[in-house]
Amino acid sequence: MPIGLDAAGVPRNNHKRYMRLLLGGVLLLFALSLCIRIASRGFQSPADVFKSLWLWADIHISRLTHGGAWLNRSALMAERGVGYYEAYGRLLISGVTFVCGMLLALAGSIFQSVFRNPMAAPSMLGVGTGIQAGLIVMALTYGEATLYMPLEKYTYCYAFALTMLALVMGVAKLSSGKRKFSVFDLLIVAAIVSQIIGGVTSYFVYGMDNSFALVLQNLSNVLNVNTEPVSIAMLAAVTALTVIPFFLMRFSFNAVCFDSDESNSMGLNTRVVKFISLVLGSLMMTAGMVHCGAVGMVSLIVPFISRGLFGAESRGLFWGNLLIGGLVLLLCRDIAFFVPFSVDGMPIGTVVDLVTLPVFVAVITGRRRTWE
Amino acid sequence: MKLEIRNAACGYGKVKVLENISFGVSTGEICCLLGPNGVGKTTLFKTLLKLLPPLAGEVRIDGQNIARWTARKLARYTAYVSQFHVPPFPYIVEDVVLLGRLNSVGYFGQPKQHDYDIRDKALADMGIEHLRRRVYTDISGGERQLVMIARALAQEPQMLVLDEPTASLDYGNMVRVISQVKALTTKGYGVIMTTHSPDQTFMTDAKVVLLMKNAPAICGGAADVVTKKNLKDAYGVDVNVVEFADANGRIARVCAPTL
Repeated sequence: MPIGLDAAGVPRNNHKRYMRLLLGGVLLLFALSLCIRIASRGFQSPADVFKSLWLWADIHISRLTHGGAWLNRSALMAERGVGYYEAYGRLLISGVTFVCGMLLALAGSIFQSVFRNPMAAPSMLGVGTGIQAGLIVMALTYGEATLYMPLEKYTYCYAFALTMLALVMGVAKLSSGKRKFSVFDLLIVAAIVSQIIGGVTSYFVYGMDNSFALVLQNLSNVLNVNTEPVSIAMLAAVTALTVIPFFLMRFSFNAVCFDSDESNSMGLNTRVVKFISLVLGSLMMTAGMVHCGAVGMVSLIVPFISRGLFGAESRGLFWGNLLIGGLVLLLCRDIAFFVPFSVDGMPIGTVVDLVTLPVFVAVITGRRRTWE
Repeated sequence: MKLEIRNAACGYGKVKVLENISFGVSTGEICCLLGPNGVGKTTLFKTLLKLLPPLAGEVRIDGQNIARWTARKLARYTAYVSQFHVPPFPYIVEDVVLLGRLNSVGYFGQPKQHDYDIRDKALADMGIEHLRRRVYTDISGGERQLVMIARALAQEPQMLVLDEPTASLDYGNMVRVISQVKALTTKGYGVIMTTHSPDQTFMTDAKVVLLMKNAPAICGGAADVVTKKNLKDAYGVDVNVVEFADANGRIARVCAPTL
């Protein structure tokens, strides 16, 4: 029996129960994730993690008032030992991973709705190619110094991803001429432009000498989540910039799933909704890829699970995607850390692919296909 | 409310599909647009709904030209149900109907209790309350059509514009949909619909606009417009219009093609 349906195929209204279960699961996994050691394989006790994080909060609060915890911070931190740094590090890693999972799942849901296709992926408009082009331009411009310029790295990644999106939209608009601009024009143009830009970037990568290639490889090294302050600040800004508008538009966003003439006759300009959705979705996808690595599969698979639990209506899907997206990526991150593949564990992208594979199999072999 | 189209030419860009179209529909009336495939019924609909600009003439609602109206203002008067409306995702019926409130709720709003009440009334008006928790993509074509009309009613319009509401429905579903559409006029709604079945103009006692290729449109009552000669001119086939007394003793008419 598919999730959320009774024997007659009528959806059970179990949304609140699912939401409570998900919240519980998120809290449990987050707590577990905080306990994972960084310096060695294994776990800290939850009590130690709590004390370390409490100390961290105390130090930062007393910093504002020049209180005792701030003045004696070195001694206090030394007293807690390496566990303090591990707990703080895990807080950042888990937080960034969870937020990236949320953004990727929302991006996937947006693209699948706008393209009215459950297999649509947010990378379809070429943001991945844009990010790669940004890294190459930066490596060619700054050489080895690139590795020590995190702010510029993110600026280049976001700028090139958004430029790519603008280029695809602009060319698609021009190519459609006076015809009605359709999302299918957009897809074809995105495929062509991505191929061209991808070809040019491949040419540069092929012609790079070894030192440049090494810089690029280090830049693209996405085994570990980025927790530099500038990364956290940028991720927070992009999250606020994308999630808040999407939260506010979560009801009107349903209009993009229906016939555009019909939606327009309901008094909404679906072109505006689609344009906003594609820009928000591309930004979310860029953030996920830039701050967390090649984990795009989350954007494809989480909306399936979310629809199975909460139905197709965007308001329920919004919360479902947030929680399930964060949960899945955090789970994959923790699994990746424990697989003895290398010093840093397994690439998270590989774990994501393996973890999401059963869901794909369930979707393909499932009796009921409409909940896709 | 009265919706009028005056001396309008409709089409895409510079290509005129229809010319010199004039007719009016008031609330409480049904107007059927008849005509062969490709004659421009959907183009006329899109012009009425301001999805296409008229190439000549004007569309008026209560005497006001709608050319400068916003989509939001127009949506308070008219609601459109298209021919093809299978969403790619399994929406629940009550959620589909609630989308009729998009116009009132706006881009950044969320539905309130008032909107849910209107949705419930629309479901009740169409007699589909039992379907409310069903998955829209799982129900039959006729039920989907009723759901979409309920969605249009939730918009609280005065005029419904239905593009072939009985297309690809079986006979039973066709009769159910047409009887619900007819019932809407008694509740004060006006209906403009396209159809490929001239019989439906008799069933609904409608005003008829018969569109023809290379000939001016003919407007009038069903009995006056849907005649053997006009059907021959419009469709190029021989169709007899047969009169008989129904179970209530009233004169009824059906079309009987000669094969």
